[in-house]
Amino acid sequence: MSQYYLFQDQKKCIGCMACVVACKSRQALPRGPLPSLIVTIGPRKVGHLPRIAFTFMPCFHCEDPWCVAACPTGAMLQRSDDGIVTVQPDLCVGCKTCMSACPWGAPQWNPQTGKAVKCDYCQDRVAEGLEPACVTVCPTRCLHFGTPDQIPEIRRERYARARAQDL
Amino acid sequence: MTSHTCSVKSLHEQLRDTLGSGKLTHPWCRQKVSEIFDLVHDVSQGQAGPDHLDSILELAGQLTDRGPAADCRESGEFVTAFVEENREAFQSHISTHTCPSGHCPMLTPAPCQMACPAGIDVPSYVTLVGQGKYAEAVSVIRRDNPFPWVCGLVCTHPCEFMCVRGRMDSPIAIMDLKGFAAEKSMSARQYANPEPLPDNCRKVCIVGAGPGGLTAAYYLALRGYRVTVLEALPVAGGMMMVGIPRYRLPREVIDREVAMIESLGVELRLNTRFGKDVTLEALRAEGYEAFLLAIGTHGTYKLRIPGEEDLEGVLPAVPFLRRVSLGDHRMPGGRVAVVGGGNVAIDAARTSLRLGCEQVHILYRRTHAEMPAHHEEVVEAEEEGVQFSFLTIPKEIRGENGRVTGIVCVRAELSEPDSSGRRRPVPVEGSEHVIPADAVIPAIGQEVQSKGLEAFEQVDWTRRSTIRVDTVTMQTHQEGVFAVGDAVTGPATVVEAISGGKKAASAIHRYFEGIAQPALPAVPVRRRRLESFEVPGALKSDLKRPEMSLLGRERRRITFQQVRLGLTDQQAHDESRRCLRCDICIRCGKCVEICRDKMGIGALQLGYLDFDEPGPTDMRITAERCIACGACATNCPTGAMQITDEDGYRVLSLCGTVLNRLQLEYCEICGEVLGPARYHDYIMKRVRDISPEMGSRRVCLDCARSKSGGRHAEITPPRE
Amino acid sequence: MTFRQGQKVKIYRRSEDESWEDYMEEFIGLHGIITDPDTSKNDPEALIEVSLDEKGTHRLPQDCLRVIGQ
Repeated sequence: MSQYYLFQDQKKCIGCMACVVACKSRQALPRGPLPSLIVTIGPRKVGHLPRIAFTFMPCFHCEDPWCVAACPTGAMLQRSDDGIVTVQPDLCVGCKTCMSACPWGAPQWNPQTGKAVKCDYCQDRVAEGLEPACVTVCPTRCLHFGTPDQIPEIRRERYARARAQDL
Repeated sequence: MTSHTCSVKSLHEQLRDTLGSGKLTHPWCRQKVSEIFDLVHDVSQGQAGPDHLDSILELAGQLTDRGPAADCRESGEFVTAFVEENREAFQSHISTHTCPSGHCPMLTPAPCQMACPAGIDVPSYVTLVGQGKYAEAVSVIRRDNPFPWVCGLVCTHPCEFMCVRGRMDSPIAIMDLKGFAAEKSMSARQYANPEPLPDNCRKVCIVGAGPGGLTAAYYLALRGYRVTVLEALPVAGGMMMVGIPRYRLPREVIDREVAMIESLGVELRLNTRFGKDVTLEALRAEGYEAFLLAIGTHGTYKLRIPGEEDLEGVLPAVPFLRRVSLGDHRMPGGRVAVVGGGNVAIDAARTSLRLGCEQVHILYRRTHAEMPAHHEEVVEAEEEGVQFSFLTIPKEIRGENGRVTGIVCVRAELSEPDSSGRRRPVPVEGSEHVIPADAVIPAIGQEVQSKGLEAFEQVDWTRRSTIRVDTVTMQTHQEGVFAVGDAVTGPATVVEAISGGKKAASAIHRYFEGIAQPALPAVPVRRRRLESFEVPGALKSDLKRPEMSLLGRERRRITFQQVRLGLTDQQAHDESRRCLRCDICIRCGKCVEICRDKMGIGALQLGYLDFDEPGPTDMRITAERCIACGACATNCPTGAMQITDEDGYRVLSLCGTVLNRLQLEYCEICGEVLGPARYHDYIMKRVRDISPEMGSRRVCLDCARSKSGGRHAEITPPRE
Repeated sequence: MTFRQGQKVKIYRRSEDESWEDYMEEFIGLHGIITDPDTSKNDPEALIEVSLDEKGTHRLPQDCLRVIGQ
């Protein structure tokens, strides 16, 4: 688990995809790769009303990342100081093992460079004390970036429950 | 080996760095620079047209003139200055589709093409032969060499020495394929000339109708010049006709290809010796403005031993071969002694056999190993019954009644190597002996017969008594006078004469047009970029160079019939498929390096990639080890290595050679293609410690995402 | 040294011969294969044909060549 945490308040999210676009544009990506994505669930009938939900899916920066273990070249790296999982393009040869290993489809393929690309929490922005691009552009302010202890208790519980289902 | 930089690639990289660095802050500027980058990229990829250079300069000019910021204007000035300074390199990339430095991967020429003195696009015609497009193959060859058939039979084929396949087993039979294509298309009446440019009314005179002179005539005629070729002999073809014996090169082959050149309007004046039958003044008066001297080396060195000058039956090899070629088939004598160990000596000996001589002896001062003649020729001569006396030095030719009766020789021993490493033959005292002979044929070297050329007063000669030229343009020291062929190089090869003829044609054209002459040797032109044949890896390695059938030994001894009988259709098609297509795969070795060093798999064993230290090659091993990750293909700079999904399989191929084929797996949810099972296993093995139970999942990227996204969704009942 | 067809050689220095031209300077250090040695009389003075690795085929004087390998 990285020392950072990106939290989405689904109640506020309207699925505008501004985060997805900002993410792609910051990394100057061509058509295809989506390092972060809004997954739309629904509409589903809940009670008498149709409901829709949007889940923001960046990289979770796992504590024991599959992608890092799978990468044969050492290009996929978990930073020791803050736990951010990032690809080093110089070392990546494009074998796509990270992509196949990740249970959440976080590493993506950049056909232009022939290398993997993924959410790195905008590490260069973070280094300058800024928030990741997706958070900055969110019009509903449903995305929050910080450390885990900054997240309200209830949300943390909710998050943990969801994560437990995955594993 | 890439010793020098390429200016196109260098600008390409500098622009990419500029764009990537974020230095250019103004969007208009960034846009313009990235447009320039795209154009330079085209040039470096071989996709540029004739207007690219102007467009680059135009955009650079806009940056300089209208750039809103200082860095814009600087970029514009930089590009303009850089392109102007390296204009020739840019133009050469655009017009030849070749980057001889090897820095532009898509334009790196194949070693065979680089090795060909005429610069023929070998991989393209080899592929066309395999496709059965013989006439097209011939027209590709004739862009650079108007004698595909001749060269398909007698070329020294430097290309085959450089052939990369030779590092694996044996080189592609490049020469034989050329001969095959030429014969096939001639036979099908599809051997055709390209359309020449309209007559430009300018007259060029070529002295000598050998391969050098006729090649220049061909390319000048195509450019619209009026060309006249003077030939002292009654036949055209030069040494091809009167030097190379008919059993190696049938007369019809030369006649047909010369006729193709004549049909472009080239005038051949046979039986016309320059300086005797026609003078320089007369030719100038006829309107000839440029001259090309292509007179060959028809003189012979003398043995300088007693009896050589005054006895009947001493017949130097060059006039002897000429006489026979012109139809005089009387045998020189029952017993013949040929002196010398070179190709001409072998030709003279084998010709003598065919004329009916009972005993043909080659006398050579050194040993078999030192014989300068090509190995195959020596072997064929031995097979036909030519006898060799090595370490034998002629001392004197003996005769009776003015006719040769024998040759007095001494035996020799080879000395210890001298400072230059050469071992000299040293006569053994008291070893004098007589070899009986009715004819002696000295074959110890040729020289230029310069008689008649005094008219070209400023033409300079080398200490080797050859004509001094600038070897890039074939210009002599006299303006408007050029020279090619053996007269320049000393006795050399047909294809070198052809190469000289082509260079001279281009230089003569520049001379007429007043265009600056090149300073560096011409760059070969990539004529095509053809699809490779799909061949299974096992077959690719198992195919063998074809053994050409030869005329039966008995018949070879008595007739001048062609010895080498040509390839069969099947042989030619198979041989074409054996080609490694080095015009596409530039042997950078990235694929091997990534698979071995980065992926730790080592599924590619392509030892032939290295010129100096070729290692073993195994095209079967890939199918055993490769996980089909595709990293090799992704990093291949030319697209030689390909990974594709077809009919339920993931296929890895290198220039069409199928190295691996693995069955694909599909996403359990949506049916999308996943990798093959071996790829999945590779990953599972690596992540086993983290997630031991993950192995059975077969879910694609998108489904993995939406599935986990769904689990995270908070769709809660509406608040009451 | 007499050169034979097929031998691997290195251009190890510039030649003293008059036939050496400026553009050949960049060949120094390159490896190649003898494709057409003197085929008439083992003449150390003859120009011989060498195919250089990726630099084309040229007729060169013999004093700049040295056999490598094998």
